[in-house]
Amino acid sequence: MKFRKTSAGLGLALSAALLLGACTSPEAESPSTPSAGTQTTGGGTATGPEACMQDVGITETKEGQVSYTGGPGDWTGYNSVTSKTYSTYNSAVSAHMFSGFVYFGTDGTICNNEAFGTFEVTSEDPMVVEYTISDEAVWSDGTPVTVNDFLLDWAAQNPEFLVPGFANGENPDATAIFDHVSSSFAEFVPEGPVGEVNGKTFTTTYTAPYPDYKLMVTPPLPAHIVAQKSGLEPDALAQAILDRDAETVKQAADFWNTGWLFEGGQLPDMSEVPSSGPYKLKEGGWQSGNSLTLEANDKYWGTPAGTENLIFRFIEDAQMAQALQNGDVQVINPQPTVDTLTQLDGIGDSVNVDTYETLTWEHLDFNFRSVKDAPKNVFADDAGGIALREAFAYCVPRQTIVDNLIKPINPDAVVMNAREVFPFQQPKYDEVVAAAYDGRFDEVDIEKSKEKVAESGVATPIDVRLGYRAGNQRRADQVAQIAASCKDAGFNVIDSNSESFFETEMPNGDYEVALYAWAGSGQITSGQNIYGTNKAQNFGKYSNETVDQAWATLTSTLDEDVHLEQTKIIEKELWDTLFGIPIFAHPGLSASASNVQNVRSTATQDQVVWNAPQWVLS
Amino acid sequence: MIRYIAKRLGISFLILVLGSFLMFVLTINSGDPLAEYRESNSPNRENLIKQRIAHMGLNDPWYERYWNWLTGVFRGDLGQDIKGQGVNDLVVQAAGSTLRLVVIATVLAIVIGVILGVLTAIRQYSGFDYAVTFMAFVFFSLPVFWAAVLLKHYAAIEFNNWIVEARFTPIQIVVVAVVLAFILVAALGGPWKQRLISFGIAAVVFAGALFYFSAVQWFRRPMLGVPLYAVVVLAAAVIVLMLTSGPQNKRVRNAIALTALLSIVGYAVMRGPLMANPTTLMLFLCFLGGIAAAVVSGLALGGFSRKQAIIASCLVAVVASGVALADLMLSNWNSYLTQNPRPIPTIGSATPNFSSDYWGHFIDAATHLVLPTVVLTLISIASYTRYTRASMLDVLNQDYIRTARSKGVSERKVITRHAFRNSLIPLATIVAFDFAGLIGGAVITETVFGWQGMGNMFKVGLAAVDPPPVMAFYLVTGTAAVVMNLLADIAYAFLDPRIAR
Amino acid sequence: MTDPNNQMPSVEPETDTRFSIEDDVETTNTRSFSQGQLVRRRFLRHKAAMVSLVILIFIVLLAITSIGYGPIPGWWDKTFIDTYPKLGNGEPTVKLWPPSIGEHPFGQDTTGKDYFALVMRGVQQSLLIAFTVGILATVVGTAIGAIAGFYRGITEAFLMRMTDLFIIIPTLVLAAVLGRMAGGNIVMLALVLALVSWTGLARLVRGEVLSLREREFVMAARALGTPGPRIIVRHILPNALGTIVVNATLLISAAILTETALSFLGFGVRAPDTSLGLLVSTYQTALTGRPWLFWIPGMFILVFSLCINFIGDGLRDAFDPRQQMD
Repeated sequence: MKFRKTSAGLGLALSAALLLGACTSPEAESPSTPSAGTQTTGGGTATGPEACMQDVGITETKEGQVSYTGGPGDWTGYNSVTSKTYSTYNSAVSAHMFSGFVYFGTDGTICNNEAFGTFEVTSEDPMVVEYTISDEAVWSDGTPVTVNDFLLDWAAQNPEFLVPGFANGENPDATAIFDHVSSSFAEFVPEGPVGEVNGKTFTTTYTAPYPDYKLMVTPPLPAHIVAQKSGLEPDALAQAILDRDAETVKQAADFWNTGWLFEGGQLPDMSEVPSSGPYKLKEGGWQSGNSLTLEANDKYWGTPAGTENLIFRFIEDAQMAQALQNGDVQVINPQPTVDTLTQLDGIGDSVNVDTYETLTWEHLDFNFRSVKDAPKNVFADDAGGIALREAFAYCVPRQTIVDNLIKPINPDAVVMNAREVFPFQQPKYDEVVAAAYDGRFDEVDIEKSKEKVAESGVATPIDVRLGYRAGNQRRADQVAQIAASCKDAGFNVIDSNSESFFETEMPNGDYEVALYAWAGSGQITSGQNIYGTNKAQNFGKYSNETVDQAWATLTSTLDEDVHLEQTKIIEKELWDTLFGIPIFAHPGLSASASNVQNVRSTATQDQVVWNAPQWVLS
Repeated sequence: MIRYIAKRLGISFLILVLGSFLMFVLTINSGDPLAEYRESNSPNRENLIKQRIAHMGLNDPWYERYWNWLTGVFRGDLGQDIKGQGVNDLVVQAAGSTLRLVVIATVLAIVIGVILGVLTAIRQYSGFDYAVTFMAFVFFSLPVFWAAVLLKHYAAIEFNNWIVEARFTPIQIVVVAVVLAFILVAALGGPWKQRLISFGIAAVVFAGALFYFSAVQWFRRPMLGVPLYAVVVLAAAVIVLMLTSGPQNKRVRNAIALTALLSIVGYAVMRGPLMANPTTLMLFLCFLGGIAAAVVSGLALGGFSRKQAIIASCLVAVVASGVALADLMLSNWNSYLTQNPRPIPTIGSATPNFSSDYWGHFIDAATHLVLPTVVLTLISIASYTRYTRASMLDVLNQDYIRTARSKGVSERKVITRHAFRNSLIPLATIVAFDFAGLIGGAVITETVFGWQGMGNMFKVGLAAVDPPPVMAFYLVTGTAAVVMNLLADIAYAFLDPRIAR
Repeated sequence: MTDPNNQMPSVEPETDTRFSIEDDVETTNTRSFSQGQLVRRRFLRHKAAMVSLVILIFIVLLAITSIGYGPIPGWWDKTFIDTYPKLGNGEPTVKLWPPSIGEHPFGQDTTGKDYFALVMRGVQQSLLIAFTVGILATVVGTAIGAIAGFYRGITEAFLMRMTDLFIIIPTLVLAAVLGRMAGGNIVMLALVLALVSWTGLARLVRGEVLSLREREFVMAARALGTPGPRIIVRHILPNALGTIVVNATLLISAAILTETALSFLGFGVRAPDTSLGLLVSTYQTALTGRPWLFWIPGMFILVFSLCINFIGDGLRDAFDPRQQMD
């Protein structure tokens, strides 16, 4: 397969997957999913450039239209990184209207979009990254994409000069001026992008080596529109940011925050909403609650969009298959259920169906709160401890769960034995698992389990509250199977589903085992928040020095070999102390009419629409 | 009476405010608006939570949030939803969408329901009565989304497959003809011998028609044209005449005949321009013209029966306009089919990125209404049928009907002039109530057919624990309910003098 | 009526039902019957209602005896909780010829649970909800309607405005809030539905009582100094019984559909327990793939609802004094 060097970039894939990935994470319901499409990438071994967009030989845009739906909910705004417009639907659209330096490949690999520009790390201490925007890169109104746009993007994250103490968290009462969903650019790059106004190159300087730097610079919004709408000269805004002129920059906040939010169905003049991606908004193309039509961006300098019109429709998951069968939409990304899959398979040759594994993974987490904080917590180290956790792990029927619940959707599904790497990320996954886990919990072993229970000294029957958020059939089924299997070992597993599990029970520690899912964000460092002592998402109050140490090493270097080594150490320690039990990667399901070519699923949260500019009608 | 109404309105207002308070408290306690972020492992999680708390005022005490909302309402501002959209605007759009969806369905349900109700009452305990009752209960008992799955499969997907060829097989023709004839005969009733003959004739006619339609692919290229239009309008005129005054009343008869004639001539003249470059205004004017013609004919020829003549003529004009519209749509069906080879969609309110002429968009809107309208109509027909039947039976057993019969008044006249009208009185109250309910939209129908109406706004708002849209929904439906409630009570007082205040 | 759920059938006033049982003239030419006997005889002759009653009783017995209820053991050897080895794709094993029901007569779900047991559990829970709602709402609605209609004045004003308040609060909100507090408890769900269902009947009964209280026999009772509650219970309610009973049946069938709608929207019964509504909404996409999962719970809802409606129809006719005793 020929590797593609210059191609249509899906910049916002970045913020879409990174930010959203996270925000919609643990629910199987998140209208997310897609993956290393086995059909297109061959054998699910897609890593590196193969996971990125391939050259499919598009040279010009063809007439026609393709309709896609990823779920219900309306498109609400051009600027999809304000706290109000930040949603999967908006990001899926933005991904095709804004280009950036990188995008996510089908397995979460970060791919370079060289059509947009290039970047390289020029120094590691201090860490400096130099970016070069392509000379050809222009907005659809003809204005070049320049440093100005990136300057505004940085300023919009409320850096120190604008809102002191906000981004670095020193002043918790500071109020943001720009309603941006993120502040990490301002936090990690306190000096911002450095470059000439209207220039095509800039550098970013990090205070310490930062492994996820590639995800830091996201596709920018058009600064010249913001300036113009805020009554400023285009250069004046950029200059003000460089000069740290907070008063001038603040003038732009109003338009940035609200100027790109529209009332249902009412698009502004097309000159206010230019595009730097392969598609742009179409005049009159928004029917509120029904559809949003994009048209090919004729000013796009990279590989042009394959099909003239890309239509986003807003359809409930359960209705998608019939809509596809009836030709109301051509590409769908429904929630994977056995019935939706059989329904799609039953349609016949007129649709292509793809199932795969995604970057969202289901797991059981133990509660580590000590008995004085959580009196009923039998798994606490001052109660049953590691022995009882192992006893539980021996009776959880992971293989049966995968066989019964996941394989009917994705026959290739396997039990997941790691947390930071996914089974389809080969050969990395095999390497990590080989180093971290010897397969002791692969098979249910009730005898072993009983032994461990005896060893722990806890009297049977042992009440175990298995908590999860109510209303999820698949989780209820898993709990039922765990309960059935662990009953013989002396556990009385109680289905403790609750609507407010994450709001009340979990923070209060009213559970012994939690069942939920995390969405892989594509970030290298995000796990630190989950496994590090006293970190924000360490809900079970786990604390382990080896793990903390390994994370500290991992996050302070750009060396990928070190990352891998530390990941092995972390995974092994998490297995040995039984932080929890990973179960499976969520399955994904996408389907497309057979006359749409180049549809390719992705494991990331970008959904199958990620490579829509490559879709061609035959 | 006016004092009573004023008093009731005052109390109703207080109830609405009290209800709004309850609603608000219930809504903000119905879930966790931060749920989606709580489960998140996003690096900007804290930021998102902070932003949402600030936007929704989650840290304010509940009474302050309620007060802010309430004072906003009195200023005419319903607030912003969780995504920062103005709720005023949302409500207007949602209400428009809902009205489009429910009005046709309601009218259809009432018309069909009342007709079936009257027929079943007349033929109480006949096979027809049982069949209609059974079907009504079946439709009434169907879960909406369950029925929607079936409808989408058969009425959209299968129909769209069929319309490509638009031909019936001989077996289909025979089966359909026999079934239709059977239904017709069952509804007509009469002695067995007569029924058998009608059945035979009807079956042959239906089969012939189907064969013709199939042979010329009528369903791909349908058209009535002016001659058929004339036949249909004249037939309608005869039926209206029979239902209102009867053929003996010359004045009414003449007025109706003139209206029908004017309609036919008018349509023959206007059909060309209406086909070529119509506008909504033009269509509306044509409709008004028809009504005007009816009123004029009624006034001119009605004589002593003026009132009756005008009403009857107007009925004819309305039917004629409806048929004209149908003919225009049918005539443009083929060009729509070439643009949209699969005409019946399963989802949405309009074909996206669809550019066509006036009739193209008109038909497009209509085809998107087909499935949800069918669902809504089917489930609401049942109650109208049952109520009309009960009411009609009640009236038919009244003494004055017995008197009329014994006086020798013909059965047709007894039913159309004495029984039918009186039986409609109680129905008026039910319609008032139903309408109030319908403004609230149809949550499930909107969900499965992808319409963004009131019900959907409410559902989405509630799921997100987002008070402004939920409260806006409450304001609209609550006000409608209170007003309709009041109307119903007043109607009670009028209809039953014993409850006079 | 503000309920957004479009399945909510209206159980609104049927203002034409002005019964006048005591001056029933049709029965004078036959031997005399008490009112109760008359109603019973008419009802027993209503074929559709009788057939429905038999089917309904059969379904109830089947649901309760098959998998048992609470401590009562059932004759069916599988439970709705346990999973069993999957046979094929989980197709129903029932065979017409030679007749046998096989291992899983209604098939199995994705995890191998016995669908017959699941459906039976669903029927039980749906029945529980339907009858709880029917009985509670009828009692509350009748009491409030009768008191309001009989005492009139300030009592009536208060009660009827309270009714209005309940009418304008959408069912969904109550179900969402109370359901959340109760954690998907089925009895709680039934209580919520009852709480919002009584309003129609209250209005109806009030209307009925308003006209009955002006009747001669009530006047007579009053003149004799009979206390109010006694008049209501002994003289007025028996005469409004037809309306009440008929509406109770409508409430029951409405409750089934409301429960289904709530399940569809995610506010109803929750896994691991089940109800017909939950089954039917879980498997709404199974029509072409695993049709038995789609059709069976749907048909149970349909048949159940049909039976209740026909019984209601039969009762209506039975209570109607103008019906001929042919």
